[in-house]
Amino acid sequence: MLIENILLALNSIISNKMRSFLTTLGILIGVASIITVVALIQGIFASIDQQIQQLGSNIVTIQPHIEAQSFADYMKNRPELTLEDADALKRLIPAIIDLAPVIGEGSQIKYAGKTRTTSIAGVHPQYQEINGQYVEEGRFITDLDLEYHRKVVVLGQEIVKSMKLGERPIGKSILIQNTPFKIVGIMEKRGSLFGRSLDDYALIPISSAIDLYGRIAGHFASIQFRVADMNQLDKVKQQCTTILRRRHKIPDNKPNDFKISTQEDIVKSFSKTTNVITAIVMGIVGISLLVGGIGIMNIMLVTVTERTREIGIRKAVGATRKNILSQFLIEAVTLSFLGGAIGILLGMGLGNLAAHMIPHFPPAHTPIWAILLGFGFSTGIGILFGVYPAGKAAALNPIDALRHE
Amino acid sequence: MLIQVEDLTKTYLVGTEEVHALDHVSFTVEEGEFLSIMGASGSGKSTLMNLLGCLDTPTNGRYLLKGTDVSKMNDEELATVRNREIGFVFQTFNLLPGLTALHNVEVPLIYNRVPRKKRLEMSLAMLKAMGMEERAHHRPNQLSGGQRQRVAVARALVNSPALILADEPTGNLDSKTTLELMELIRDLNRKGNTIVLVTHEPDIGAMANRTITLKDGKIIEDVKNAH
Ligand SMILES: Nc1ncnc2c1ncn2[C@@H]1O[C@H](COP(=O)(O)OP(=O)(O)OP(=O)(O)O)[C@@H](O)[C@H]1O
Ligand SMILES: [Mg+2]
Repeated sequence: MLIENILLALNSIISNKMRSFLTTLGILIGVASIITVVALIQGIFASIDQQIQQLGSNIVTIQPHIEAQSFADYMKNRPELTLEDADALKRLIPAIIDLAPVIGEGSQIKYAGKTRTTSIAGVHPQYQEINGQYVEEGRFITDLDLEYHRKVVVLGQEIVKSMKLGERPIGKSILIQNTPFKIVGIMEKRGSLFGRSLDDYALIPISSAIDLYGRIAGHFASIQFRVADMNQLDKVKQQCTTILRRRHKIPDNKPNDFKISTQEDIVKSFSKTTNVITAIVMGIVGISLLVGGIGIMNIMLVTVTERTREIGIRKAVGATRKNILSQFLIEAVTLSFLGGAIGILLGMGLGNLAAHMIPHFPPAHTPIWAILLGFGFSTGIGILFGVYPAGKAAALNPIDALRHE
Repeated sequence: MLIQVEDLTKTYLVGTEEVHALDHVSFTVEEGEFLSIMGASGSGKSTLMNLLGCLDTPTNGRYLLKGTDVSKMNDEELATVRNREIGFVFQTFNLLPGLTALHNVEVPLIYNRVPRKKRLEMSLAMLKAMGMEERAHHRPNQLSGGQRQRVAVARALVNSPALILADEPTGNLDSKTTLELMELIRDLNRKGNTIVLVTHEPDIGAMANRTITLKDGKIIEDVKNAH
């Protein structure tokens, strides 16, 4: 009888082409809209994730930091990290590798009459390894550059573009604080995060930066290093705290005048932002589920009258409730799966197409959960609204089903 | 005794008003009888037929079919009765619009679990007997009223039920097709089928060997017809 019921359902699907088509279409649109939206948003997520990964791993950053009441208060007690602090940490803590002090300044750069404010960082040669960002063209800053205080600069790609440095920027000179620096390398592209370019920066040897900005770089200075063994991270943080407090002569009852942050902390602060985005995404997914669901429901409910009469006729000539239910269940499952499968393909296609057409949009990414959610929800609604009214109609006296309008 | 009806009552509640569509009706029908039911519009003929066809449930009273109380049957037993014991011809045909004539006739056989090949043979033979084999692959909306009615009759007969219930089967037919259909029904009766037929027209009612007349849900006359 099962095979009979399957044939009956398939026969009913084929003999009511328009109705079957509309039902399939409803489910298809439901699934496709969910998948498209999720694919696009997951694409954005994936690219944010990737950029966070690019920030490097097992990196510790120490920055000058105090809890200041006011700006005046801050300027009075302005904390500092010195090159000597950096040397002391490197000497005293063996777990530290690739230690590099960074001097960061927002500065004007000039080239061929064009001016731009960008962030200038004075760095060590180890910067590449610590940050996991490497030079793409030319070379990076070397130990010799540091030793001889060379006026050389490695540029982020955004500067090359916006300053119109041309096809072959290496060898040209730009002005930083009115001092000419020779371009020796171009960093690899990092893209953008929340609409801000991550390639808008210039790197110079830390010794040259000190010459440029003075011995004390003030609150812009930071020290970055990597920890060889991640398990030692907490111990290293503790050691840094002890050494720096001693060097800065901080009494026991006073707080640190620096802040130690790890990659983990950065990821945490990112995930705060992503949580907000996730909430918005869930809202959008919810709306597309609703829209898709209403579409499916509508088509199913529109046919209820016609189908109730059909049920009346079938019962009048000998169908049992079970016969009716299994026919409608098989019909709904078949159409839902058909619509669901096409919907998934269409949704993925649309997502990729949209991601391609919007400039600078990251590639779409369809996670399994979105497929399962879209498919499960749409087929669920399709089956529910296909079978539930049928079940109700099948419980009626045949004559009441026949009279339904 | 094929049909035994005792105090059969059907009351509809329309708003706060009770409509006694059928009011304590009692009668019996023997196997092989040809009974016609007559009466003015609204007298309760269709209500009675729907109850006899197990398509509706009475408010009160008993209906025994072959000695079994129909009200005690469950869904599956009722389905079996509708499928094998009764062939019902509706005034409004009630064919499935998506199916061809052949597949409409086939439906009762599906629920009777007749194998597919046999089903199609039987359905086609039935349509042939109705003179409809040339229209076997037409859908109901491609058929005339008379043709649809013949498909509906074919569907009612295909499982060879002992009892045939026809609610104004000639209501939508011209006089020529009416006579053809009546000839067919009389033929079935001669072959032993029990027939209950609702009609407005006295000369059609008179073709039966017994006529019950309803008025306001009550039997006002029950006579044998001399032929
Ligand atoms: N579903 C219903 N709800 C309320 N009243 C109904 C319902 N069905 C029938 N009736 C009422 O029951 C009475 C009998 O109706 P029925 O259909 O049996 O009449 P009938 O004799 O078949 O008439 P006709 O010759 O016009 O077909 C009528 O007064 C009708 O209004
Ligand atoms: Mg009637």
